[in-house]
Amino acid sequence: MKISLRHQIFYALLLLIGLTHLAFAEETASNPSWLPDRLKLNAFGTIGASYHDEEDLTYRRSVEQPFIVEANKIDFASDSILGGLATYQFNDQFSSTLQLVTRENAWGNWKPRVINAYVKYAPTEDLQFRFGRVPVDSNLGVETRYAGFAYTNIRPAPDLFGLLAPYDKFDGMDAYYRHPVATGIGFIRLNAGKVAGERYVSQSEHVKDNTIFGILAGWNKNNLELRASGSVVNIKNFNTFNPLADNLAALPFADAQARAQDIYDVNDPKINIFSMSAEYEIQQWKIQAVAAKIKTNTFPTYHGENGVLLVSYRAGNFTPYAMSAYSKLIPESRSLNLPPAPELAPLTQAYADVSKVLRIDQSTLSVGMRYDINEHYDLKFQIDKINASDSAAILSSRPAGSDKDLTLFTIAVDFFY
Amino acid sequence: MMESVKNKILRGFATSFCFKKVTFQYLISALGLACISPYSTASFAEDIAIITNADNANKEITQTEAINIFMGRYRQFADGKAAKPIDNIAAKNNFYTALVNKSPAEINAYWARLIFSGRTQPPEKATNSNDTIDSIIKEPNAISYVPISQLEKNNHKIKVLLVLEAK
Repeated sequence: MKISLRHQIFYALLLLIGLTHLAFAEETASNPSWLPDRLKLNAFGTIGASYHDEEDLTYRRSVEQPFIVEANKIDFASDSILGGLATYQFNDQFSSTLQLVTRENAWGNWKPRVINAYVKYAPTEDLQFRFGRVPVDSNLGVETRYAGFAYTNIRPAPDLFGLLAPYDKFDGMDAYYRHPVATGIGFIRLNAGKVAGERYVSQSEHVKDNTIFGILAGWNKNNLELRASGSVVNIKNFNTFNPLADNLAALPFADAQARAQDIYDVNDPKINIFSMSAEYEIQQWKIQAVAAKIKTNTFPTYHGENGVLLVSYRAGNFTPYAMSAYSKLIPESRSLNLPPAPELAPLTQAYADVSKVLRIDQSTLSVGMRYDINEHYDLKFQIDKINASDSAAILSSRPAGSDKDLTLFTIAVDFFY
Repeated sequence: MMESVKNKILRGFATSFCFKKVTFQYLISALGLACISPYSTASFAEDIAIITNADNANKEITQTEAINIFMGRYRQFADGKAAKPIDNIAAKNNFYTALVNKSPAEINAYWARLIFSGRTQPPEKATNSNDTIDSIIKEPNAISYVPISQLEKNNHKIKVLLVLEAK
């Protein structure tokens, strides 16, 4: 019997889970005997299987992947992932961390990627500096979105984490300060550097060389955590649609020249992101909420907002949960009014296409159950009811703005050592 | 228990190679799933004493301070000295249930989050209460916990900072 590549990967992941379990064995007082005391290793992974039956729609959880969950086929690649984390403690102040992850990427292969690789200097309990490829923790959950065992649901809401910027690599430095504030612990983080990632739109591509400046402030006490963050991404190599502007500028119509000027005026394209998040636990209940706003000064300009509300209730090893999430990204540009001459129609159409090159209007309602098999493994089942008219998560030949709704069923096993 | 799991896996391989009746998929699936064993039965819960070295200047801590130290939020005693937490594996489950009402899986998920944020690492570990007390005696800034019945009344080298009621 011939086994498909995806099934081979699935079984290979299953094998690796078994080997990881044997390698780390039972919890002991120190590292496994084959590890130096100063070196800490963690391994994590997810094996997930997804299914939907909506003909003519193909789903993905992130723009970092190609569209992979086809109708009436069980897909193992969307949520399956394997990763490892190594931390070496040189002394009380210096340490170094490396995180590798493998999952299906924008090119459709499983080439491992370096997600984090940094040196940390912590001169006091209050203060930390990190240099290299460091985690970005602007939202609750964003820094651990690859480690399924770390969160309640099957996947961090794609509406918030998967549809827009594929910025999973941040190369630069951050400074972090924390201190007791009003009976809790307050913290603030500044970061500056370059962000990069990969995505599949009409083709697989790297997104790189964009610079970012960010600030995060937060506070936590016992069962409450609050975070607020703001970031500015300066976009390099932005396609300013100058050929289109040149064609418009050449026309003897004031409206065409004004629209051309709109495009030429984008000299310093930026994405501004602001987000707030909160997590609160009371008894067996846990509530997590994240809201984000996005604004760009690109052409076209974009205004966007995302929100996630997750509520779970722990009953022994079982944790049922419900989640509501939405994502909107609306392009805004002034209309182009040219005379209805046939020779101008292609230009009018090109302007219209560029003006709505990316548009997202999606909401998701999810219910699921997490079962903790033991302290290293969980089993999850989740149903997502996705309502979308335009979405970067769904590929379809249906017209823009028409319904692209689907119900996604997913089962997954996570592990973390 | 681990030995029996290993035996199951080895038996699976042997069956596969000797009789060639077990398909590749079945073998690998069995290997992965055989390794996942459910929770062991919970141990008897009793009150837990949070302890430190007798030379430590701090006489007591609040439960919030204990949460900050053991959950990696802020590892500093009230007098400004760095706190070095140690998990007593033998009492760990009962301790975290009493401290933050979390199961072992929830604690592990919590640490998964913090480890990937890169901010801190979980506490060092000691195998049992005797090793825990030995570690406390060696390090003035160490802080750990033992079931209250395992405190040695005549041990003047450690002191109790807080007692958590069993849940």
